[in-house]
Amino acid sequence: MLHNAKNNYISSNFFGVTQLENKTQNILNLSGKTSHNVIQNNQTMGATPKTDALRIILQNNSDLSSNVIDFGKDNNEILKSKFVEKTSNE
Amino acid sequence: MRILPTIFAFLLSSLLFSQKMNLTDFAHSKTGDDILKAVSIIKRDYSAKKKRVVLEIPPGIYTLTQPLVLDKYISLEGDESGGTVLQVKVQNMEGIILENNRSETDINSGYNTIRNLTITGPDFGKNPFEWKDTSKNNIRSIGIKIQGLRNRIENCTIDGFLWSGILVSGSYYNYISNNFIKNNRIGITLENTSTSGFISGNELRIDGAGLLIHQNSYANFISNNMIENNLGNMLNEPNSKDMTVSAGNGLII
Repeated sequence: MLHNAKNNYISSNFFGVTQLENKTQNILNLSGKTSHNVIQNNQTMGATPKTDALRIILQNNSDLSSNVIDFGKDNNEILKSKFVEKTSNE
Repeated sequence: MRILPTIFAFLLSSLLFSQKMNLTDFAHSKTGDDILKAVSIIKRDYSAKKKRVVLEIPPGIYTLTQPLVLDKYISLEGDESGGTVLQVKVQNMEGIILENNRSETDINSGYNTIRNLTITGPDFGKNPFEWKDTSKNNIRSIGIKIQGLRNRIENCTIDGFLWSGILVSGSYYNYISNNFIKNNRIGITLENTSTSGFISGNELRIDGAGLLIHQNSYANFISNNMIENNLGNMLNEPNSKDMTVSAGNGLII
């Protein structure tokens, strides 16, 4: 499985997130050498107020810094704080 | 003399544009084998002369015993109601394959179109959240496999395939729009250096994962899709020994 897509443009999609038992949908999963993709202006919404609708998986050991992920100012703040929290716990 | 331009225009259009044919032109019954037979005749009588044909398939349920392999000169069109159903019952077989053809003459002649079809796989009608035996790699269980260049997939429902609803492999210039793709292992897969794909207006729902872009695929445009509730149990859990992608992702890239 080679996750090395590049220069793809993903915009204006709607991600509806639901939970099933203890499993929640991730909206994005980036890994491997995927690079220079732009993911912006997408909408995301959880099935309930408690559903985490901003679950993004960034695989360890991958340099994903060339990708652009932009879910708007407020959501970006949440994503940043999640990332900081995760890295400080590692 | 005024009639000459009209005659010229008619002759030109007959050379350039597609000819519509109906399955009933080839068979009185309505079976999957009749479609295979019709495609075979069209290849012999029209594709060989580089004439484009749109094969219209009336409403009905057609069980395919082999994949429908279409060349660059054949398009398929079902009934607008969604009542034209092509069903694949076996576990490791494609529904439709758009052939790999890099001939400049053929690929510049226009787009293949697959429109208004419902294509169901072996898991059609099963609960998407139930446990599946993910140890079996049914890599041929694909609703539409796109290999050639310049294709349009429009207004189709694709449901219940064990590998991917639509798989684009090493292909360029594809428009995949306004389809309902559900209950597949992966909704849409772009792989093997696929590029210039425009994927828009689709609903990707209750698949194991909505969309997978990998293997050096680049410059694809994914917009205005609904990607929702892709928690189907057709993929392994993240920590599984199996290296396939994990379930529960909207977009894997």
